[in-house]
Amino acid sequence: MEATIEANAYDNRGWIRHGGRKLSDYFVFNTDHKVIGIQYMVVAFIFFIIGGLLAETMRTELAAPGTQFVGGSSYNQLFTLHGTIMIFLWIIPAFVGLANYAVPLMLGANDMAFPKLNAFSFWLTIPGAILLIASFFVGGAESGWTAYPPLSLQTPAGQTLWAIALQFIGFASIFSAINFLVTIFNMRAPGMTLMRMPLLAWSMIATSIIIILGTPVLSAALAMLTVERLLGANFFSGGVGGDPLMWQNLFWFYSHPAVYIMILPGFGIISEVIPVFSRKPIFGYKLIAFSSLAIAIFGFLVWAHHMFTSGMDPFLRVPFMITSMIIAVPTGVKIFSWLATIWGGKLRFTTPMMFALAFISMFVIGGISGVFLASVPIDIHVQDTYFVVAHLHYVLFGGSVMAIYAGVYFWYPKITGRMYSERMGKLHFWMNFIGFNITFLPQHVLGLQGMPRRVADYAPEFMLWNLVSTLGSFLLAASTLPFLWTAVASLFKGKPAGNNPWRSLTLDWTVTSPPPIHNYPVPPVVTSDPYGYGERTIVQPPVPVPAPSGGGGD
Amino acid sequence: MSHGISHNGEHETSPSTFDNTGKLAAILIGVISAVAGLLMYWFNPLLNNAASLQGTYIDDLFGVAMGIGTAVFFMVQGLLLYSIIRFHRQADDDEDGPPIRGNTKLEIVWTVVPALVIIFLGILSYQVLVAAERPDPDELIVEVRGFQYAWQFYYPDYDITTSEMHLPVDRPARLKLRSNDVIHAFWVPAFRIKKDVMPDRVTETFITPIEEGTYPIVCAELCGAAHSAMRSQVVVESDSSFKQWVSGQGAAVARASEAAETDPMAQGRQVFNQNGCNACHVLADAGAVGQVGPTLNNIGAEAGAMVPGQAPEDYIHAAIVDPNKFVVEGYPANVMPSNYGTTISEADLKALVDYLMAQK
Repeated sequence: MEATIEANAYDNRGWIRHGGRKLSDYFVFNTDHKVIGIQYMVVAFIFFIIGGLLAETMRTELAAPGTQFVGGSSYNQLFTLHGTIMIFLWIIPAFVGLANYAVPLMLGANDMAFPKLNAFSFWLTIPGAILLIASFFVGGAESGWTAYPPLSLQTPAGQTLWAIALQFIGFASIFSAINFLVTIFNMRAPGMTLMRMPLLAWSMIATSIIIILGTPVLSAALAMLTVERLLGANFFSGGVGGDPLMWQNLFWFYSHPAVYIMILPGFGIISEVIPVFSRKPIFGYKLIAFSSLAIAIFGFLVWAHHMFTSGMDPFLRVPFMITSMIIAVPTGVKIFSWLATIWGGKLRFTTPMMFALAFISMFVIGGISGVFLASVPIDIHVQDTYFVVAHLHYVLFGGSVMAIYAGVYFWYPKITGRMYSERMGKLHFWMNFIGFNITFLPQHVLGLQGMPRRVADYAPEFMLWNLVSTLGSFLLAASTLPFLWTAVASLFKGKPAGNNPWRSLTLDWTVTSPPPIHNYPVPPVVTSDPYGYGERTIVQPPVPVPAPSGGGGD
Repeated sequence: MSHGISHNGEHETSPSTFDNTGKLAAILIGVISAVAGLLMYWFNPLLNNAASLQGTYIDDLFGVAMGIGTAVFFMVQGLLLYSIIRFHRQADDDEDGPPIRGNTKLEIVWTVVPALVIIFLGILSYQVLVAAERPDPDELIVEVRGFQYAWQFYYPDYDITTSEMHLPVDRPARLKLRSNDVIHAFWVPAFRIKKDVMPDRVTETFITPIEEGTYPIVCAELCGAAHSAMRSQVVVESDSSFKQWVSGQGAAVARASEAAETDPMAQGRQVFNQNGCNACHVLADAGAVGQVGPTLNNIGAEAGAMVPGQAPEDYIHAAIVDPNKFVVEGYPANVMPSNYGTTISEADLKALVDYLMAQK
């Protein structure tokens, strides 16, 4: 009977398919969450490379003062597209991809709650991505990813395409958030109470709540911007009834919480990786789970800290300062809990573990500089400077990207059925870690000493640290090569992984690698949370369907 | 394969987690963090001396934050490094670690203590904010205009307009900022003061310079293609030098209006400088040294040859009101603001064209 389930699960006819057994299954409207997860991850990674090349172009220009080969509008287009791509087409979809693959498996579910909606979300991202790239070629958006009017009302046609592109991506995001919430609340295996869920599921609850509450506000703001640009409505123009600050309020009401959309899934991944390679239960499960929800709630009460130097009401800065600072508390709780999990464990330094440890180390720096920025008087000096550039990259690269890499290496054996090369993984890690710090650490100093962000040219006194930063960025860019090497070569040459190479206790490691198309022909029964290292032996439940089923990567 | 420990394993005290070595290490890391934090607070090495009173308040606060931040940094990295070194799995050890799931007391501590630190920093920040924005009856008012891509300063007390800011040392100044076009941000890094310059409202900020010298003024909010060129400077000088400067400027204004009768170029030169043309172009006659756009020293002679069949006056006029029509080779399009046709009056525009025609 189980074999029949598996056979029925695979549907390879036409453009609407289910399951990934051959390459063409990955290029169609496929409703298998595992295929969609891989589609998201691959597309996101392609955009990571594009966004990275844009960044390298900027860093090369910034290696020396003066304008060497790209300045003025072109430079502004570069960082606008870089920021937009890295946020909307790399970090957010990469996490959606990882979670899409892992969460249903970890919950003991056979798929997401709405498989067709899931595929629709992915395919809605594609026209958004195409429009965004197209915008670059019709006179691109050049007002930064923040697109403050009135500047964003002056810029060329690409700005309109930019706004429409983000509408597509925003809707995709909302649909997938609804899907995650329904899946997590309704599709858990028998016995998996909320308090027995893997922490990644808690992170995805918090993330999805933020997306559902925040993204519609961004959509509204983008629609208003589009109408103002095309039809001359005066939403954001001063003097005729509009208000440029209204854009900032609407934009940051989404875009600050969006920072948590980009980091909470990372917290979840780290909470999975750390216990497995420390061979200890996660320390303080409840506090970690609830601190994610606290971050989701407080995340909506801090947006105006991006506007401390704007024309906003001076007194209102104080409550926003307090809420912004308070966010450090639930975040600190997670850091301390991870440290306590590691303490006294039996640490195994696999590549995902190294990225996870680097995540803690780097994210703390971004967290500390975040408290600086929350303090209004300090922010008055460092707002809109390279200090902010450094801060956000410590959070989004040192945090989110390290977490994405940790997750990709962690689930690579599950997704492909083969082990990645530890040697290449370690090389990737060290080049990445060193290159990252050389690139971004000096930028704190540049900002404090007076270098504004978003400039193609700067005063000669900033030359030294800019040059160092640029050289570091080349190492950072080169670190992608060993990753690509092992990601591709290990598909063919990697050692077979077996079901559970990490001896993890989450359900995803009880099925074959790659998992069968119909994840769980026999529904698993859950009796405790998945962190009982040192408490229970790892029992491999019977895996009824043997290997030949496809999965990722073929 | 690991072997399960029975559930009462939770209550087992594990010698390897918080033994004397671990305690000692934790204490040592705590001490190192505290010392590092204090040193950072004391020396505050990342900032040069502030040149304004408000800046000194902000720097003191920054020092406190830097001290706390450094201590937290050393503590977390220290614990992490110690764990990495000490708790490395031995090659043949496939056992799991001790099944410790939490410690309520510890969890309360690391929720409450950071909250207290944050409250302390919040209160301190509030006090600094109030002190930094305290008005003073003896203020010097300066009206700051930002436009793509230059700054302009108007002193209502003296009725003078300049493209460089001068402030007397130790006298509080209140800046009233306003933009002609998009959002800019007025930033003097040496003062630690930054304020957005909005097109639809006046924003205010307070500066009491305490150190004589010349400091850069930087636009910190992305304002378009030549954003990085939107710079000026502020000269902080003794009260007597300031008064001298003011009377010099006043005399220059008087001279200019007098000269306008005799020197037909004076009005054009004034239009050129007051609309920020000097920020981007080189023009010796107007003392302009901008590096963004083409040099205009000989524009009167060159204009006729730029576009075949186009009268030189028409070329210059078009190049001002519709700058993307004829973009000079080697310079990017969409850099120069395209709204001068509406922001400069017809008469001023004519004076400007005549003035530029005379540059040969």
